[in-house]
Amino acid sequence: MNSFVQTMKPRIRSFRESMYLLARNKLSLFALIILVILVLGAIFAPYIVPYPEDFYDAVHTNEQLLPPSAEHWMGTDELGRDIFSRVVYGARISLTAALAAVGLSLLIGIPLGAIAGSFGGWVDNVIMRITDVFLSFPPLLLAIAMVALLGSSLNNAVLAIALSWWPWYTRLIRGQAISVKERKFVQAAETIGTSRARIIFKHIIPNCISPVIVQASMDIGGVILTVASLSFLGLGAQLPTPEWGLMISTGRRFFPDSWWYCIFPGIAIFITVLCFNLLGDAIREILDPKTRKN
Amino acid sequence: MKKLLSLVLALAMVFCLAACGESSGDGTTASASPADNKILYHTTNTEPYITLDPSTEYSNGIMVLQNVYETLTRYNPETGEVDPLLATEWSSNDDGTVWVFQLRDDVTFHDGTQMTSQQVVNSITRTMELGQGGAYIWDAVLESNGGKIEATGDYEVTITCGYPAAMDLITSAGYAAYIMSDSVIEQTTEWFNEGNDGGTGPYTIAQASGDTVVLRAYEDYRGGWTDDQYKNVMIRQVPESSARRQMLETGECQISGDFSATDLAALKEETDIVYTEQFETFNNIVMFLNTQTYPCNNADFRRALAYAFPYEETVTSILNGNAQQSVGMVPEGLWGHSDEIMQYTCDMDKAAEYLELSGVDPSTVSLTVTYISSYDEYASALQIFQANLRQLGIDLELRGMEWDQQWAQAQNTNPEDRQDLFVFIWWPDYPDPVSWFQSLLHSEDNIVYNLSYLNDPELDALIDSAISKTVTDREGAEADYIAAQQIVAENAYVLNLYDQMHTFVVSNTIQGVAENPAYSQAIQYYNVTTVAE
Repeated sequence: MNSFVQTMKPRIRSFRESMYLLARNKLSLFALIILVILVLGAIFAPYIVPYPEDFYDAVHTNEQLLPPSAEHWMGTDELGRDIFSRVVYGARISLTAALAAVGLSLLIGIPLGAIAGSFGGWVDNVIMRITDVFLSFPPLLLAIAMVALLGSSLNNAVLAIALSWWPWYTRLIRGQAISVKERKFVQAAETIGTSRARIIFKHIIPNCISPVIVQASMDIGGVILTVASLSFLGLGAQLPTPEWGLMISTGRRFFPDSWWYCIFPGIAIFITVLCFNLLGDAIREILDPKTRKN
Repeated sequence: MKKLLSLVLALAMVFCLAACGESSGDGTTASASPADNKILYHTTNTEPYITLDPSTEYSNGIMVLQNVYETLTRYNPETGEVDPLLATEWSSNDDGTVWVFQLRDDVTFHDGTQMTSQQVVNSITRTMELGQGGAYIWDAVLESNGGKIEATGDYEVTITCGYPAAMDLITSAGYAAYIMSDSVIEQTTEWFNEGNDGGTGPYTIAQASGDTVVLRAYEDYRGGWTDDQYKNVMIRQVPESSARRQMLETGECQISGDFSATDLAALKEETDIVYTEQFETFNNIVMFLNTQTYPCNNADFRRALAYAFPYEETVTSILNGNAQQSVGMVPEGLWGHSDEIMQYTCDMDKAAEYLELSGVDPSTVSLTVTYISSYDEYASALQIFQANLRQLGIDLELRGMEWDQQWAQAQNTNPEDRQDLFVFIWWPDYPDPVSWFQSLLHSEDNIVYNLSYLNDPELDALIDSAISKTVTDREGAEADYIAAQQIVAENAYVLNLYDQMHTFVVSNTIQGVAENPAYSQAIQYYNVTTVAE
């Protein structure tokens, strides 16, 4: 019991310190609160939206393109569906897709970067030249090309984004790994005969992870935008999925007379991306003492 | 002294250039007549052509080709018959196997050469030899089928068919029937796509760049030109309905169509700027059901789908009345159409009844429907269909695609990899029901447009019989076509969704915009004139 308390004490202290640093930055705290609301909204969407059936199944052709009102806070779309309900459901799709794409990129990028940095030599060369090939294309263009090959769907869009995003994490962690592998605790582990795999996964990766976490938290906003862009181009989510980019794409043909159709999903994207960027800044401040103000 | 001379010369040049380019205040220059500089802008939601080869183009290029090339005859929608165009008169033998066309003797090609019968023969021979696009319309003339085409006088062409064929209708086709100069016969499709042409029509192609085509008047056109006509036409793709609407409102374009229902409704209110022209077309929207694979190989399941489609809602709510529900394959206004053919209505009780009869467990079924993603009305209608099917417990996945992708999947050699449902628009190659039956419903060894993958001997026999009777026994052919449509409806091989109407929104400054249903999408710009103030 004593040992457990001893172990947990520094972690609790560290958590408290992080919360203190986060609370000190009002903008980041605001972003965190918004994101928490967004996540809760996404999770409990069926219980909080006024028209849960409008997520997928329903059409009400007698209520087409109604402007915002007390009954429909964000108006209705061309098939009479409540846009507020669909925007809230859309949070589910956008957040899930973004987390899946970033998670998948991390799963590919972190081990490859750590292996490249730890082994060096030809292994490093091969891995880094492959990442250079991927990095030579803009991520959105590469994702478009991949979706064109795989076929249009949200799952394929997520896969395509992950496949175009991982090299950034590989490069980042490789740089860290090169520095960490020279440190004494790694050399000590090598000396006592610890296997290379154990050194990489037990010692190198945990000590390289901070910048990757910062980068990933900031990337989520970018990935949400990319998912929305692919859906806007017809390469991501398919109708009638209430994905924000797809909603804007469908709504643009009604824009001159029914502005609400595009504007509200657009605002949802804007707020979400902004909040993730602010939160990313805050996480960087917490994990990297050098960037802290005061 | 040299410096002074240089200065005087430079000033003189500047004055000369300024004089040459002096504006007359209405966008034209003083050196040319107003008619020479006026430009008619037509914006479209699709690209104006796929190719510009008059022998092989089989799509949107009709918008351009109808103004650059001409055919021997032209369909008249008011009489339902064909009128003379490059031919002055024609006759056939009793069984419709030998046709003699007399040609005009005052037609010149854009290269200045005179049109003679040999060039007509060479044009049709080129199209037959290339065998692409709508070239099948000449099948009866193929040597392998016992046919031939020959010049039997300077201005007389004799076409011998291997079997009876309505050559007067075939020569009026919007595809594969264009007459071109001998000077371009040997040219490739790429050469035509660079913006070259060799037609006899009122316009030549001045520029072609994928999404834009510029047409310029052929000054020696036999009909002549007047000042109120447009000698320059720009056809440009602007995919967004709202952008096309804005261009009309600001006067940046004078003709456009294919607006979303809301944009069209708004434009109809702006009577001080524009007016609308609505035309019946021979275009209809069909949904093919994959009869080769489970569960659409089950006739009762197909009938359940047929009763679940929201026909009326599509016409009223999605298309705002700019269409009508189809009755059979052949649209109203064309021979072969009958209002007596069985017509499905949206009836969810009947759909559930047929689903039960089919024995298909809906929970095990997941259907996919493919459609061209740029057609927003398809997406809206299919979402209502999807919601209706959900009531039956059937899952429908919507896949909006580019046409090439959609068609490639439909032609996959493995039937299991094809879609369950396929939506697209069809219009005839020439005003004859054969276009729907031969292309869409007749069995074929290699799948082209038979996208329900039908192989029904009874249907094939009726189609073959109708084709053979078209010239000699029109009533008999019509009866066969009607019987064929009844089979298609009863078996729900294809769902006939709606017949399209084309609405053009036109600037108040021009008149004469008209669309002939036999040449869907094409406007004869030669007939468009400015409105006198």
